[in-house]
Amino acid sequence: MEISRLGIFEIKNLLLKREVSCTELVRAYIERAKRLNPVLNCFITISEESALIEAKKTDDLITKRRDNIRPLEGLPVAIKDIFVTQNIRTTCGSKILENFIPPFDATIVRRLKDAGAIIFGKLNMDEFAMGSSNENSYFGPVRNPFDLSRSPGGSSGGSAAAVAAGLTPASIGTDTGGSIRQPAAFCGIIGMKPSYGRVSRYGMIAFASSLDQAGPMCRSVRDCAILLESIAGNDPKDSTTMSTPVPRYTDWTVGDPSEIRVGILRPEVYEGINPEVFLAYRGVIEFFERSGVPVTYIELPHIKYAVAVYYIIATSEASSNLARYDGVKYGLRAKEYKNLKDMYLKTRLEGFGSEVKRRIILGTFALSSGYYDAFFKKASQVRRLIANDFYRSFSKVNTIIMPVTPDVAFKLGEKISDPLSMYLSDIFTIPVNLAGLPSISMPAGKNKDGLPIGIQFIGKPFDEHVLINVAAFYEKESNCMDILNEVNL
Amino acid sequence: MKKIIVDDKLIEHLLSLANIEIERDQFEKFKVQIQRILDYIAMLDELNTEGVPPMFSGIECPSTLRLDITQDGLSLTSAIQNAPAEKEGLFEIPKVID
Amino acid sequence: MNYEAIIGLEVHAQLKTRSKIFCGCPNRFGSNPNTNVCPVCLGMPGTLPVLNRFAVELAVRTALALNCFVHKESRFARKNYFYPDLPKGYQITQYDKPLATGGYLEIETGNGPKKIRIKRIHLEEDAGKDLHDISPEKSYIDYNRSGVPLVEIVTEPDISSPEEASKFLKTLRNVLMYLEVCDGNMEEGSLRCDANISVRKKGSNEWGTKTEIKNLNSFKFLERALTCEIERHIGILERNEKIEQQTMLYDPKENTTRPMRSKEESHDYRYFEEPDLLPLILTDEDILSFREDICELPHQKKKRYIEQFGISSYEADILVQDKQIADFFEDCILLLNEPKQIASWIINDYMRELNQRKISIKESPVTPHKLVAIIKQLRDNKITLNMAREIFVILFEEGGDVQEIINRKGFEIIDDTEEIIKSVREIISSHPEELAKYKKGNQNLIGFFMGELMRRMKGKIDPKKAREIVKSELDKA
Repeated sequence: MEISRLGIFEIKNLLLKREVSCTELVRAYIERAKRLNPVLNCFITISEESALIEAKKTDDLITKRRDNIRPLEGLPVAIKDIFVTQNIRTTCGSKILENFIPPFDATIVRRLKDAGAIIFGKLNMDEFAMGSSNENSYFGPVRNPFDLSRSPGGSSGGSAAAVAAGLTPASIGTDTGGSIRQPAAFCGIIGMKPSYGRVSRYGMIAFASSLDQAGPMCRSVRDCAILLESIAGNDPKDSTTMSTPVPRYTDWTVGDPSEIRVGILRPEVYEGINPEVFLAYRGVIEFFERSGVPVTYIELPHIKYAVAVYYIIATSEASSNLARYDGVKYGLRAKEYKNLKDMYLKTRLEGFGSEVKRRIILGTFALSSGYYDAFFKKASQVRRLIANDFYRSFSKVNTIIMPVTPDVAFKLGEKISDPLSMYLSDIFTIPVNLAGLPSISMPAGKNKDGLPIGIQFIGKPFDEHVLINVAAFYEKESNCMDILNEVNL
Repeated sequence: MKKIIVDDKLIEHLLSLANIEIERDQFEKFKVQIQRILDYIAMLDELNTEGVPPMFSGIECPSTLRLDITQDGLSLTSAIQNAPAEKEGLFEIPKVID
Repeated sequence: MNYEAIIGLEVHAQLKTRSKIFCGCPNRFGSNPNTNVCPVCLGMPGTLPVLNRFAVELAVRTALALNCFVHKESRFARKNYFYPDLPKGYQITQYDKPLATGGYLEIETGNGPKKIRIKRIHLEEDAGKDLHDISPEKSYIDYNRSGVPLVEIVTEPDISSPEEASKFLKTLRNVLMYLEVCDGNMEEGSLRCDANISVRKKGSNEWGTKTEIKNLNSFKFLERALTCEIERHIGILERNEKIEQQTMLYDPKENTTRPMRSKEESHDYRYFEEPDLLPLILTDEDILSFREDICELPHQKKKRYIEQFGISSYEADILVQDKQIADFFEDCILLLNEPKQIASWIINDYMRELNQRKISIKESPVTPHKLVAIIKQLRDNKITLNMAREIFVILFEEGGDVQEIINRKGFEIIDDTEEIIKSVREIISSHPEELAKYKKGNQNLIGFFMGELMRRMKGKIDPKKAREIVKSELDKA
C-alpha cells in the first residue's frame, strides 16, 4: 500500500470507506518507519505492540457500528518524544531519560487518544528541545528528506522529517523559540505554534516553561485545523491554559481573503538574509497584494533584541527545569560516585549533552546572585517591549508575514561548533514565542537546489482561526504543498 | 552593566551551583563560548528599561485555582518503578549528612 | 558586661487542607511511604502545579488574624537548590511578592503585653522526608510530605529572650489552631520553627552577626537552643573573636548547637518568578469573605470572658489556651448561667482528669450537660461538694447519668435543721472532755465535732450549714 503521501483526511476516507483496515494501515506505517529509520533516524521508539492492539479496537469499532466515529478515529500518528506516554518510553532526546517509562500520559496524548488517534512512535528531537538542527539528540541527528546531507532543523526535526517523508501522516511538535516552525520550513511542511496558553503543557517535558507550546506539524492546513481542534483548550492540570473557547478550526479552512489584513516589516530588516529566502518572502507578499489583500508596513523596533532576551529567559528557566534530573527518582544514575554530591555531578555529567550543559550554565549565571537584575529581569523587561511592539501592530493588521529562517536547511555539522550562530538563525521565530503569539509556518517555494523555504503568518493571541484562514487561502491559491511531491523515499 | 569576564572561577562556581561537571578538555571551549554569548547579550545594555514592568509569562492573566479535592495518585509500584535504587517502597540514595 | 539578644522566628505551619497545595494527593500524615504521591509531587518530567484555592484561603485567614496587609497580587517563585527530598530541584514559594506583609501578634510577657511584628506571610510547598536512621550507608526518601501546603510566618527581630520566643510560638500555635488553619502538632512536624539570633552589648546600636538555628520543633528545644546559642555568642564576643554567619543545628542530647554540615554551600537560591503559575489575584470580595471565616481569637475571648463572665484573668487565660476547652466552657454557660462555678470546675477538676487520662476534652465522656447537671445539684444544695466530686469521677470512669448515680449512691443532703441540732446536741453531751477544752478556748475542737457529725450523718449535710449549727450549739452548751 502506498502511504507516503497520505494526510489525515485521506486516511480518514480510506478507513471509513473500509478500503483499508486500521491494522493494515498501522502495520504499513510501522514497516515504513522501520525501513526508513536507518536512513532518516526519525524514530527514537516505535511502539508496535500497543499500536496494533489499538488498531484492532478501531477495526472492531468501525465494523460494528459506524456512529460515534471520533474525529481522528484510527489515525496512526507519531509524536515528538517530548510528550510523556504512559508505559511507552519517553526520552526527550536525552541519555538521562533513556530508560524512562512514564506512569502517565501528557494531556495532548490523552486528547489524541480520546479523539481516536493511535500513537505508534516517538520522534527524534534535540535533547530537551535545545537546538535548531536536531544534532543535539543523544540518539543521533535526523536527516532532511529533501537532502540527506542536511539538517531537518530542530528541535522537532524528527517530527518534521517524518511528516515530509510520509513516515507519519502528521505529528505534534513543540516550539520554544521556533522548534516547530523552523523544521517545518526546512522540510516543506506546515507547522503551527499556537498562542501560549492554547494547548496544555501538562506532560510535555519542560524546556522553558514561559515559552514552550505544543502544536501540529502536518501536510495540509485542514490537517492542521483538525489536529489543533483535538488538542487545544483549557486543561485543569495546566493553570497557564486559558478557558477561551476553542473555535471549530475546521470551519476556517475555506480561505476567505476578504478578512485578511497583512502587516510586513520594511525590507531593511532583512538585510543579510539569504537572497533566495528574501525573494520567496517577496513572492508571498506580492501574492497577497495581487489577491487584493491590504498590505501595510508595521514597526517591530525591538525584535533585534529577541535572541539576546531569549537566551537569557529560556536558559534561566531551563536551568531550573532540568534540576530534577538528579538520579534520585527516575532516569539515569551514574554507576560510580563517592557521595551524594558526586552522584549528582556524575549523573548529570554522563546524562546531559554539551548543549544542555551550556544552557544550564548560562541560565544559572543569569539567575545567580548579583546578576538577576541585569540579566533575567532586564531580559523580561525587554520581552515586554517586544510584545508591546506586536500588540501595537495588531491594531492595524491581523496577520504579520515574516520569513521563518534567514536561510534554508544547513548542512549537518555546519553550525554545531558555533552555538551563537546557531542561536542567531532563530531570529525570526523567537520574537513570536516571547510575545506568546500564534504563528503558522508554510512552504513558500524552494531554492535553486530544491530546498524548501518557509514563510510564517503571525497572529494575535488566540487568533489561530485567523491564521488558519490566511494559510488556507495561501495553500489553495499557491499550490505550495506540491513541494512534498518532490520527496521520494 | 560592566563587561562580564568569563574566567575559570566563574565557570567553576556556576558548575558547582548547577551540579554539572564537564569534561576537562571541554572547559576552555565552554569558557570561550559562554563569553561570546554574554558579549552578544550585552546588547541589551543599550536599552533603557527603567519602569518597564517585566513580562514573566507568555500570557498575562490571573491564576486559576483548583478546588481542594483529593484525587487518586500513583500506586506505590508506579511511583517507584523508575527509581534507580529503591528499598521497601523508599527511594534509596547515598547517605545524606545532617 | 551585659548583652542583649535579638531574635526573629520563621515558623512553618502545615495547612489543614484535604489535598496538597499543587496536586490532588491527600494531605495526610502517617501513611505508608510513597503512597500519597502522584507525578506532580514526585516532580516527574512534564508535570505542572495547580494552586489549591483552600490553601490560599487558609493563608489569607492567617494573615488577617495576624493583622497583616493582604496583597491583592502576589506571585510564586522558584527557590533553586539541590536536596534529595526536593523532587523538582526547586521549591515553589513566594519571594519578592508575598501574600501578606506587616502584621503583629501580641504576647503576654513578665512586663506586660508586647507586640511582636510579623514581617511577612507566604505560601509554599513542603518537601519530602529523608530517613537517615534505617541504614548506616544509605538514606531513604519518602515523598508523601512533598507538596503539603505550608504558610511561612516570619517575624521582625522583636524577640529579646528565649522565654519570649517560646511564648510567641505558643501564642501563635494557639491562634493557628483557633483558626483551624493548622493542627499544631509539633511532634508530627505540622508546626516547625527556625530562629535567627544575634547578640550585642546592651545599649549598642550596631547589630551583631546573626546565626540561624534550624528545626526547633518543640517549645523546650526552642528555648534551650536559643539559650545555648546566646551563651555561645557571648563566649565568642568575650574572647574578642568573630561570630561566623552560619546555619546551626541544635543537639538536644548534648544540649549544644553546632554548625550544619550539608548546607555549607553558598546560599545562592537563584530565585525567579515561577513560570508555571500565573500571579495570584485576590479581589476585595475574596478577602472580605475570608475575613468572615475568622473566629474569635484567644486574646479576644479572654477579654470577653473577664468582662462578660467576671472570671479572673488567670482563669480566662487558662480557658482560652485550648479552643476545645473554651468551646466546652461556653457550651456549659449556655446550659447554666454560673460562669464562675463552671470555670472553676473546668480548671480544677476537669483539666486534672484530662491530664491524668491524657485525653482531650472532645474524647471525654463528661459532656457539658453532665458537668452542668452536677453543678446544678450542688448549687441547689442537693448534694455536697464531696459528693459532686465523687459523681464527677464516676462519670469519667463508668459514664452514666448524674441523677442515676445520685440515686444509686444514695447521695442526698439532710436539710432538716431540727434533726441536725438534735444530733449535734447528742454528740456534745457524749463528749464532755472535748466540750471543756473548747470552752477553754481551743477552737480546733470545732473540727472534731464536725467530723463526728459528718460521720453520724454519713456526709449528707451541707458542711457550711453544719458548721454554723455546731458552733452555735457549742457556744450555747
